[in-house]
Amino acid sequence: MNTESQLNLQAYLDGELSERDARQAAAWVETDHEAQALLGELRQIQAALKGNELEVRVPESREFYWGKIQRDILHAEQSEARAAAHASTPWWRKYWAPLCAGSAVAALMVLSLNPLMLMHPGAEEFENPLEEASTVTFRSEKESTTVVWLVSQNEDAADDMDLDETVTQ
Amino acid sequence: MILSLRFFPRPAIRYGLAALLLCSNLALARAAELKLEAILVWGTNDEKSPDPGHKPVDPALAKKLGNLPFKWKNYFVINRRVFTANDRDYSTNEMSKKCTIAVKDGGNSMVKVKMTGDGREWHRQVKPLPKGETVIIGGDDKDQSAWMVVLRHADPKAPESKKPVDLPQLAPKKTAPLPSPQGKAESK
Repeated sequence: MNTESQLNLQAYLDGELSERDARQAAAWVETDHEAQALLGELRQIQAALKGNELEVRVPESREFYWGKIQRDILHAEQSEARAAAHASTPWWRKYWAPLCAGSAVAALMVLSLNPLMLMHPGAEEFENPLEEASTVTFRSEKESTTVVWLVSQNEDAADDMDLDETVTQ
Repeated sequence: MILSLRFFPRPAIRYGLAALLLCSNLALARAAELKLEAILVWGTNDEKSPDPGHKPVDPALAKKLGNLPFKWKNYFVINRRVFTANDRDYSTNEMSKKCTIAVKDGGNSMVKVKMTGDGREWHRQVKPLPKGETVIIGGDDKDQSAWMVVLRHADPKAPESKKPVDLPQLAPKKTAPLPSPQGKAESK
């Protein structure tokens, strides 16, 4: 007798089989001595359990356990729905929040560093309060040096500096 | 105390906190002071300064000046000041009796410079001055010579000038005047 037959016999004893299967099981038991012996053993065990099984009462009510099961089922359904929604989200939506935050941080950096930079990129300013004076500026990238030469309107700075086209006045 | 990110489950809160931390760090960075060096230099074709107290500029600066399109061959230090510029007030340094340079940290590696003399402000500029950069503000002097103020970052180890240096006086004929609005140089 294989395991499936034994389980069928157990189900037959517990009344869990359909009417048709129960009839077949009954016919089988009548003809098979091994099945009869097993069924007898099972009946004895069943009787022993019914008479001696300890009844343990849990403090929680039946509704408590069902409520918990219901919440778990609901949670599982919602997780599945979220996962499905997440899978259908375009890839760029996943980076939307980090991109926005990064842009905001960059903007804050620029603003906190120097608001002048927003209004005047480069923000290099020269001013000569004396009306009679003007400024000649020369920039040497090689020497990382900027020369600001103050001259009066009557003078020619180019006489004093061997300036070329790079000079702006 | 380091708080776990579990306390900030929403990404928006995390990014907001990160932005706040970054901005506070930037604000602290801005509060840092700049240690600068201003050198009043006299440029001439004469081999020696009439004032024996005038020393030639250091070789690195001499090379830098030599590579610039100036017509002068020799450069002498009239005065040198090391000072700290902050972003609140102008740090004023008297380079000579008629030349004062005031510098303020403009933030973002910018400096605000004001040049004054004889009680008048005659030049003002806002200029980027990152480390390694040099700004020279100059003008013509008598006898085909020139004055210039070299502004750059100081060596961090260099001691600051505590008080105005007693200025060596140039010989009357070879003074280093500031530019005159009339185009005539004035003696300092």
